[in-house]
Amino acid sequence: MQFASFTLIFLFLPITMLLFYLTPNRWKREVMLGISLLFLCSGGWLAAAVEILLTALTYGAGLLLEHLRQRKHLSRLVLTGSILLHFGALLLLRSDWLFSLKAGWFSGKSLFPLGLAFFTLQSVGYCIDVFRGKIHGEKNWRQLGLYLLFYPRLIMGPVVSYSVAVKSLCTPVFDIARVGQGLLRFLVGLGKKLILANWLGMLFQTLCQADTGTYSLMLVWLGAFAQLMTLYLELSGYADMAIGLGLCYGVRLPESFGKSLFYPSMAAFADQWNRTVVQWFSHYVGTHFRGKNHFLYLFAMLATWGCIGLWYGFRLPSLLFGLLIGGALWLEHLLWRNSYHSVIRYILTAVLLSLGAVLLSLPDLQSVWSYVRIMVGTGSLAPTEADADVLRAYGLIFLAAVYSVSGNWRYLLRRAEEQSWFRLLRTPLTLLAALLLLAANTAFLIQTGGAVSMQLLL
Amino acid sequence: MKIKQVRRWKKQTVAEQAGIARRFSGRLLWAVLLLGGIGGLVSLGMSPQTSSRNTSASFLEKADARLTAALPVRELFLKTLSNGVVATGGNRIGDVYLTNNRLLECPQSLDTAAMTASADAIDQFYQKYQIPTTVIAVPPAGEFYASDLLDGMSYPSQMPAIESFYQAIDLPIRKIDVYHVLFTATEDYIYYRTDEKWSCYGAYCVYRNAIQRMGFAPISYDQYVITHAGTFRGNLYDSCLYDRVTPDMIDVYSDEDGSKVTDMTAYPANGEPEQRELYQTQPDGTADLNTFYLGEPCEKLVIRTNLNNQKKLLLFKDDYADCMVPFLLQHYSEICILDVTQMEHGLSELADVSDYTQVLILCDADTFADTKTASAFREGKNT
Repeated sequence: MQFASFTLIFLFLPITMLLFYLTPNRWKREVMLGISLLFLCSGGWLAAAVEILLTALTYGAGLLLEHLRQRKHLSRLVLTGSILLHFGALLLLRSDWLFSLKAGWFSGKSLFPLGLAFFTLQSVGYCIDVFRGKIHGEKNWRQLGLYLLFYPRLIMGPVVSYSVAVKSLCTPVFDIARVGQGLLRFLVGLGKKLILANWLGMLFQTLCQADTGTYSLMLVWLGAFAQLMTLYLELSGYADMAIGLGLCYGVRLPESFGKSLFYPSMAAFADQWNRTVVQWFSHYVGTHFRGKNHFLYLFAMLATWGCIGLWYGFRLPSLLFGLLIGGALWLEHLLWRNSYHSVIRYILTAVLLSLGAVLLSLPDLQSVWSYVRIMVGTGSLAPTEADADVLRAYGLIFLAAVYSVSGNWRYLLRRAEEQSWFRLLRTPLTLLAALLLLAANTAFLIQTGGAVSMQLLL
Repeated sequence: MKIKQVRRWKKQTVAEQAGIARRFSGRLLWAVLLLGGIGGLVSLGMSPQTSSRNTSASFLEKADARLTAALPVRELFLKTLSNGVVATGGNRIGDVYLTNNRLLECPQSLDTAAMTASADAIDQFYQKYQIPTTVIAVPPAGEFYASDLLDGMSYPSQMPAIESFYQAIDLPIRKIDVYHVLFTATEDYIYYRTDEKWSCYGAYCVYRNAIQRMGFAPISYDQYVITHAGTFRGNLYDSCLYDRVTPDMIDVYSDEDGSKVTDMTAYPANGEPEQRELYQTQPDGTADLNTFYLGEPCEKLVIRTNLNNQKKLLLFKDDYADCMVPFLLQHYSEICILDVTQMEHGLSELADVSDYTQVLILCDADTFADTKTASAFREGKNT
């Protein structure tokens, strides 16, 4: 089941919310686990079985690590096995390796469980925390199951450490104001995905499918920036949906993305882009290499962001994306640490990130090279006729997306909150906006046939 | 002294007002979603059950698609959206390109690994049975009409993937180059304007070429009497409701002197065998393209004719082949049709392959790029 689907929005969500609301507090955790398992099974029985098996293994590994706490060698062995198992499963199920085996044995049935990438980070993080003695191995399987399989967080995170998550998961605060806030947030996220990301994403697709020389240098760069906005809108849209769904069940999840895509520096990008994932890799990978030495810092950055790139997709361009960001962060750390923010830095950051978006979106190096060589000026420098057609088709949505990712509307909203007319009309305006957003999302969902999946397989 | 009364909303803080708005929104949205779901289920119950062409879709995908089709507001919302896209200068709604003359499907990038697997499976099938085999991979309409798009707008061609697929199939399996056959007839009505499939005339052009390669003389175009069974708007129109394109026609090519169907039995994957007519009209006399030729999609169909030439054809197909079957019937005493998109049983359970004198495999490129297709040519589905 996709977040952006009719079955979730009009059937699964309202019915399970009602069920959750009617359940006595002491049973809410079990009911939530049941709802999450139901959601998981909707992605296919085989895939669900894989994820449930991995949950059971994490549970067992946690208890074993707790039991072997005094015997470091053995517990290190268990931890290594657990890490290899989780990342091995992610690698095998996500990549095209053993394609013929998977296609032959399972007749094309999907084996990739919903949100396995986030699930893997949480499971491995849990095992490492138990190994390090930060938390105890959880004996209550329902509690650990809910932590790993809580369905709003399954597809797009955020990644939360067990000690932080367990408090909010076990004591959900279910009230109608939270439900309202959650549903509004969900609709905003859905709108980012359906209205903006899907539409704008077609611009980059169009440019990728063109022959060299069809479009000019300027348009190709605009296309790369459009793809950066598409990725931001899609990922932050899913994160908004996850936070909104969490609120609908009384659980407040942490924010994953900053409010704007325009960053003054790469450090600001690293701080605000999918921050729980970046923090996870910094915490569990990068900290091993940190030091005052510049080259050690470079190695830490490359290792952290290389892993993040591979986590986004097990492809060479994704790895290059990670290395590009890591290298840029190191350079910035080395050269521009104390300089002022300026327009040039905003532009330079946007240029680097646009290049990163191209790397993250294209499947192989050949396609990346076909696109990048036009970006470096081997194609037409002057605007072409085809540019005008593309701009006519996607110009308006491009501008709307730029405004949306600038985050300026939040500032306007905050200013409006001080105005008396807005204070008087706040409730009817909110209701109207909610209904319009729901109608627009429904229209786009109808046009896509009732369900849309994510561009990136996470 | 007159005390100025301060209204309640003026006393509330921003947070309190936000809380009130959220409470109202929560109640309203929850109610709307619940009612929407109930309404969807009710209209789903009232709408007629239609069989899906895409059996590889999961239960939820089918449920989403059916809910979408059954939504009472669907037409209003979709038309508003289409008009909005066109008004803002767009020429693409979802996966449909809009041109002045026709709607074009935006082709998906093909899974080349799955296409190679399909080609290997066809090779193995031929090695095993050694029956003369012909393969036809049908390209989408956009390959011929991409110039109708806005000037310079690129169209992602599937032809390189189809050529690689053909190269992966070994000789002596015959491969029909549909692109070159149809390229000379692009001025004619070879593809529907509002549906992704080729028209009856497009199928005839390819039949004429293929049947010659299979050792028969094709029936001349002049020998057919062409009648129009009805007009329709196809699946591309359904996904955008862009109504500035002329509706399509369903044609029937009949040859009075040709062979006649004596028996046509359909074997659905989960159901009893049933007798069918070659052309199926709706009870109200209208024609639906999806069911007009050969009826509802099913796993296996066996058609026998009054020809006594002992020629039997085993046809592996998807829905592109439906309108070509009437042409093929003029040359065979029996055609066994296996729909690779509907097959749930293994090949050995469905047909005795060695009983047939020729094999024809006719699908569009998307079907060959489906991971399930390769298993259709193997003995058991999961071997």
